[in-house]
Amino acid sequence: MKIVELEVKNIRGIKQIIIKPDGKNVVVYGPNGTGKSAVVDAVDFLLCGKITRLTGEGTDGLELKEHGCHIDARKDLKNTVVKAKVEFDGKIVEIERSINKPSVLKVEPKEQEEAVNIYLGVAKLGQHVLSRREILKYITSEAAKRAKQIQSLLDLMDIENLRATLVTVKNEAGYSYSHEVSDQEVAKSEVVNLLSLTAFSKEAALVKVNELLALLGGKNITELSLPKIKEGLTPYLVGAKKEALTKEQIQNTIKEVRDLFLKQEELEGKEKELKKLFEDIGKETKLKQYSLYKKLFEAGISLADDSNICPLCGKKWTEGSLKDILANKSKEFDLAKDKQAKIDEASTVIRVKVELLKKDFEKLQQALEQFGLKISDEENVKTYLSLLVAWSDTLLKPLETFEGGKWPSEGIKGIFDLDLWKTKFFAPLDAELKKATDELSKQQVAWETLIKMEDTWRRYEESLIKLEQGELYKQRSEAALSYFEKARDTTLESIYNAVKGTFDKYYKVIHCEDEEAFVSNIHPDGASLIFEVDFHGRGMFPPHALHSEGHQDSMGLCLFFALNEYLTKNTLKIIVLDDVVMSIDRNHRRAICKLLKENFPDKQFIITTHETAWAKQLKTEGVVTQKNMYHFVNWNIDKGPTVEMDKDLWSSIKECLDKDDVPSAAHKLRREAECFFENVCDSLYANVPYKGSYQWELGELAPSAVSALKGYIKKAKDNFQKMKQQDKVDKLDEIFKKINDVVQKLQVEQWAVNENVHFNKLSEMGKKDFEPVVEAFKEFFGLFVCPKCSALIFLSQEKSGENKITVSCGCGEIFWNIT
Amino acid sequence: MDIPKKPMETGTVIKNKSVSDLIFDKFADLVKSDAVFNGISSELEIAVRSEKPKKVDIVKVLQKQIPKVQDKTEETAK
Repeated sequence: MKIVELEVKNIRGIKQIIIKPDGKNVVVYGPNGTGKSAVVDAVDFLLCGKITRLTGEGTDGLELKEHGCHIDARKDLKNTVVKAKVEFDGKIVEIERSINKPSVLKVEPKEQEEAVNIYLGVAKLGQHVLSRREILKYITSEAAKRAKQIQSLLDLMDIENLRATLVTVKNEAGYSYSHEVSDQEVAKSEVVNLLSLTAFSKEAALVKVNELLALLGGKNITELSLPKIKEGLTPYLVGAKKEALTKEQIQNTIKEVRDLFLKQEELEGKEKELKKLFEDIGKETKLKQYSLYKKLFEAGISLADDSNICPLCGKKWTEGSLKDILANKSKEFDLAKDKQAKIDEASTVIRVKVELLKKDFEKLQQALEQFGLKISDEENVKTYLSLLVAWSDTLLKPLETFEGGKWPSEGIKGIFDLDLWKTKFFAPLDAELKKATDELSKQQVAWETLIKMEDTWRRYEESLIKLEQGELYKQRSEAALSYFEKARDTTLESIYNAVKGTFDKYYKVIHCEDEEAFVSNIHPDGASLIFEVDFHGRGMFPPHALHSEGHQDSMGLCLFFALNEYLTKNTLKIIVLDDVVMSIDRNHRRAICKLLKENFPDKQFIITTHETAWAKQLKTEGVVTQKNMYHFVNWNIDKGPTVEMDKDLWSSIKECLDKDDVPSAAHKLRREAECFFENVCDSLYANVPYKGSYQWELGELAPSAVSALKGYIKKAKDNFQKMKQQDKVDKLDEIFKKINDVVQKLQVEQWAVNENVHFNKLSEMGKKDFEPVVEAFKEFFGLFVCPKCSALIFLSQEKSGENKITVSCGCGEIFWNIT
Repeated sequence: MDIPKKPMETGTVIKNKSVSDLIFDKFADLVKSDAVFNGISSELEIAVRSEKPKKVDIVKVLQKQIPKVQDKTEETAK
């Protein structure tokens, strides 16, 4: 898609302009504040429905509807329109967008609408406009910020948000699984307790249930399942409630507590191990901090935005990008992963035992109530129960609790308060159990146990299912995050590799003379994007470390082109370059022209600049034609810019002469000739006397240019003679003769220019007198441009291979070896 | 070059997949190749590819239980 005609109405500083690029490159130039950037904004808006300049960092409070239109059109948004005739797939299609409805792109004919919108989907990536501001983002920003810029360009911010969500899901699944492990251990212990087993196993439980069934005249079962536990049995009447604990259960619970107390040493060892791990992490200050605040960082990343306002305290963060800082810190958490795994393992061992003690505590409390007993000194018991609960919570997120200074001060040994258990539970219950010895028959006890077994087994089976589910959820969430990061990293790696190759190629076109062995290194590193460049074979450095500002600008330009090529896949052919060569010198600008012409012959560049010299260089180098030079001048708020079609010099002189205004014609001719020969001398490396003012007159420039050209022709002729290419020798002889003729003619005519420029009244020349002067200059100019492509001829040296020095044009019509 | 009629019909459009799409495609391939996601891979892909992926939707899919019988049916269908 290329722009054939563009009409801008009431956008930014423009009231109304029409430019007609006819699918070719365009240069819009003029002083600052003349509305050039409004053309950039208009094209940007037309293609993607937004104005990039009004979005992103530092644009808080800027709105398209308020600030995208001309200041006087805010209440008439229907009249804020960008229209274009575009060449699309060999047809002319009209597209139009208004700030009134920025998301709506009108397409005529309508049948092209869907196709046009698909193509313009690429424009939404914003990879069609480059300004100096963007260059700085690519080159000088820190690795994490650069990654963010590129990610934003690649439309990856949502990807990073999704990754943060998957991290949260994985963490939550881990906590949830830890719960399920404890719950299952408790459920197993209840089976052990109820059936008086020595340890949990399904087989042992089955044997015990069959013993109970036999006592009640039931049939043996081969598998423990809920429907079979009481299958075919006649109900026995029992005095106690279903949920009441049997004597055996109470005894087993007491036994279980005593057994748990035997584990005191093991658990104290685990606590010691945990504390050692915490201290190890604590010694590495960063790890400690990142581990502790990991969740906060993750939450922060999803909440922080370009405003740099802390989502926690609401204050403005002034030391770099808050989001980048959070991302970096979060990333470093991964270093603590191994230690975290060991922490999880040790804390789960302790937590399971704590949960069992909690369960036993509740059970024995119930047992006391069954016997109508009240626990004396309740405060003491409550404090102990609080301690159990505190340990249960502590071990769910142990590192956070430890670092938060909330680790129970008495240590895990605090839960092994044997005196409390003896006095509050064991002693009174033992006494009661002795009294209740013969209340129920064996069959009644068996029946009651089987009833309870139904509930207990149900809880066990449920816990088993939950554990399996929790484990699957944990596995899936870990795999989902891991695959997502892998998919992101491999995709980005391949993109950066592709972009790197293109970037290096383009950069070497611009800097072939001074950095022919240039290489770069672009690769993702977690949340950062590493970008390093070779500095004259002395190593790899950040692009803004050692290279000049001009080189950095070239890098930004080349990286932009490389990304553009990758992202647009040559479907969106429009590229807008908004004042991007400010720090680049004239020679390298010529190389940029070469890059644009040779590497992007199928693109349409819309180039803005405040530098007339660059605009003219683009013309003389053949990037843009005279017809597509738009000179913006005399901007005012009511009318916007005055657009001067940069007329062809000869037409403009003719206009003056038609009015018999010879002094103006002479003035134009002299100014243009000086400008032209500055470029010629530069292109041909002509020897011009050095002047501190950097201002040379035509009399100093033109002879040097002629002398250089003649010298090159002589050398080229010698080379063609050696190669016995007589036709080319003859051609050069012709050119040489022509130079002499034209110069001789000019020496006769040139006096007229100076006379009139200085308004010498003595020289009262008329139109007829001045026309031969103009013709002579026209021929003179023609000596230095290619008759086929109209580009300025230039001297270049190949540093590789044959080390050849040549004079050539852009199209290859002129190619003289002068080595 | 032919004008594409629908987004997925032509090579041109496929070439112009966004980087996000390329990441999601790769992610979907990895997920489909892992048995732990049997029976939920498509739903997971939909959940993460949605315009604004919600944690609650992702959790719901990841927690989804697929009866073993259904797995077999799916394998047979494949």
